[in-house]
Amino acid sequence: MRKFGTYLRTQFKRSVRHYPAILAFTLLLAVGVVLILSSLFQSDASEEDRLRVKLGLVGDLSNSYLDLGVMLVQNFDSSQYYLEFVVTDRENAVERLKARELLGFVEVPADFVDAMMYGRDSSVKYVAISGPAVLGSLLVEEVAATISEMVSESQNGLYGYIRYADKTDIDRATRSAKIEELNIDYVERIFMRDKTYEVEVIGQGNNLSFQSYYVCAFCMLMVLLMGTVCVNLLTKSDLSLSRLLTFRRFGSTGQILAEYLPFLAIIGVNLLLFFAAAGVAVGVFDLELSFLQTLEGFGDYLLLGLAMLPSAVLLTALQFFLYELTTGIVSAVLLQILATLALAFASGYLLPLNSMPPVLAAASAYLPTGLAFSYAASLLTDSFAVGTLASVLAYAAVILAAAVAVRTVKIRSSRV
Amino acid sequence: MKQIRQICTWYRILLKRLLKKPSFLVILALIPLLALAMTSISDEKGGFLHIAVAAEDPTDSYAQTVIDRICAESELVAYEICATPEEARAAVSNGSADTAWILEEDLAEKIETVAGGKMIKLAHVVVGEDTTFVRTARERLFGALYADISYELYLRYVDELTLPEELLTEEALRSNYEIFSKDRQIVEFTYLDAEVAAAKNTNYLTSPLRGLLAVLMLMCGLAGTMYFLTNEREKTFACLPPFKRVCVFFANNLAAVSLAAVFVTVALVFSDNYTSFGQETLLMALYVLMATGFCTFIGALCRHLNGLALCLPVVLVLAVALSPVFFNIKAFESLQALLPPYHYLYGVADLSRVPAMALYIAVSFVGAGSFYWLAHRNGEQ
Repeated sequence: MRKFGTYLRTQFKRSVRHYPAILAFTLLLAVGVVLILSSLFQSDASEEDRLRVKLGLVGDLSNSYLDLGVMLVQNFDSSQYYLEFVVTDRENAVERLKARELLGFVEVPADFVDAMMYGRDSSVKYVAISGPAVLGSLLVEEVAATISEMVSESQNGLYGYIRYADKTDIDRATRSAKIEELNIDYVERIFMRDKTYEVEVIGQGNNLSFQSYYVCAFCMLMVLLMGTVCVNLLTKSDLSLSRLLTFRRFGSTGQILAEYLPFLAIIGVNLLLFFAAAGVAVGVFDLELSFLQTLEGFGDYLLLGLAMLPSAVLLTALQFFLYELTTGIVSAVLLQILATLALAFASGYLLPLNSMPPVLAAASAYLPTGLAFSYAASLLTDSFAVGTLASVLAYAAVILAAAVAVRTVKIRSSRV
Repeated sequence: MKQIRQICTWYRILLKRLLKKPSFLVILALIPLLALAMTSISDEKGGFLHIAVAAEDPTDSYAQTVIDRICAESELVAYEICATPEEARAAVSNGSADTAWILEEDLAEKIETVAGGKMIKLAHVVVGEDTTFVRTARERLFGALYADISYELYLRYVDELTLPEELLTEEALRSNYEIFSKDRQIVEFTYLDAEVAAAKNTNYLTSPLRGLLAVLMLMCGLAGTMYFLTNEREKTFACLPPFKRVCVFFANNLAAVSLAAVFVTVALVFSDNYTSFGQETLLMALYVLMATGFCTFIGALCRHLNGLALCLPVVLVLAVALSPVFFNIKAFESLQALLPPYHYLYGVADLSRVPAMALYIAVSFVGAGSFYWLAHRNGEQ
């Protein structure tokens, strides 16, 4: 026990020496993550702007029908709540598309309206750009397919009526009036389509909203990244000290615990500082974080940080195990970063978990990063369960036991 | 000629050195594995949006027809047909579905009422959070009902005409109505860059693949930098003057990044993300040089292995977050412009960025060389 105390004290002193550099780079990471999160959520935009997708509209709007159609869609159609059309010329649309200000733009050929009116084939061109915005473009593609179907059905009805009307002795004036009436009826059915369904918003319940999901995910990512910054503290270039301690009857278990606890303390302190800073920032800048409405003051943020410590225990245990696997700073850094990126992706820190195939989503629950995220998410949705906490701590214990085994094997195999 | 041979010899030696480093080989192995894994999971049935669909009256055969129409295959949406409305609602409550569409009972009669001019409720929509994606996807719900609304409206107007009996049979009415095919596309999809349009794979799961591979290449370059700084600590190249040492530094990183480039190109080809030989070769060559310059600059700035080890996570996080790998963040442009993946990924769709990439290479090479020479000109380590 005395040996453990002495070694633990030595490791703590070592950690304190490395802490300023670790804290400095952790702050850099934290500032970066917070700025990225705030850009992602565009917190200075209005609720409506955040929800709308911008599409450019290029074409000759001198045609009164097209101009009227665009005006009606922009002001009276339900798509105005999620689509914003920006009328512009092609050059400007291309520039704005390349700058990612537009998701894409619709190019209307000059003869489009006439073709539609006289039943000829014509189409508009939707121009997108490749890259990570493909999600938005895929959604527009789906909606466009639906729009194409609705237009085709409407034309079927209109031209079907015209063909039959031409087979009767209906007078021209009545025929024209009926065609116009039918046209207006079709347009009315489409424009008033939102009256054919009733929307009931039941809220997130025990599920995370989009924003709170990413806040939780980035907290976990922060813990992982804080661990990678501790590389100088945890990397061993040789095992001579470990061998000496083992020779002096201070085995791997004691060594691992004495080295792990200061590492956990550093991460824990950084995590609490992170939440404390968040609590202060919310108060000082009077920020409205709609997805964290249950947190009211500095104290609540600090309590949340404390409650998240078990997730930090699990993630730090994992990182400590990875550090044990490697020798030398280069391998340690590379393994930590690769593992962070791979596990973050697999556990839904970067893309939402429910967008992954079911197999991967199910597998992530068994990953340390997945379990840590589930625990943290349960704190934000008030669905905390003691069972989850116990699983998190048990998993951490298993990983530390594995680290002990690795250290033991390495010491034995390094003996001359 | 002799100098060129010397350069090639150095390049070959540095390449062989890298191939003996297990940690470097692990990163190289990850490149095809990542491409394979992401391509495989994109083939699995998933969906960015999950929609539960049900009918108020499960025995309503017309409602079941509409449900089948709604649940046609989609790349973005995963539909779940629920036996009862309660099941669909529960799916939204427990988070397994983003929204639920519950078709009303007596749906066929209600369709006729809507066709007659009275806009009544045809479906009940339950949402957890009414996001843009959920609202946009809702268009498909009406789209599935509209075919029958349109046909009913047509029948109402045709009913007012005086027509011979043979034209009023169901078959004749239908045949007269279905002139335009449902598969007719009013909207033609194209991409800004025709070469990119040839790239078949636009699955949302594999769209970050190119960005992740670019970041892995950068990591290879940074790994090369770390190996070189280890050599600096061990004074492996101390016999060389600073100018030649910085050339070795560049060559070392170039070897690491160019080796990774070969693997990345093969991965892009096999994952259907390859555009054209000319464009990909040009962009990859530029990116190799950009990554070399960037990694050497970072190494020259940090000077010590321990310092680089601290910087590395920050650099890679910024590269993933600020480059268009997963997100399209339109902020911190000056910081984004410092990152090679940012230029490369935008350059894939917009070749007008090539001059900016060439300028980046020149500035990074000069900057790295200057920093290194200034630090080592008096024989300091």
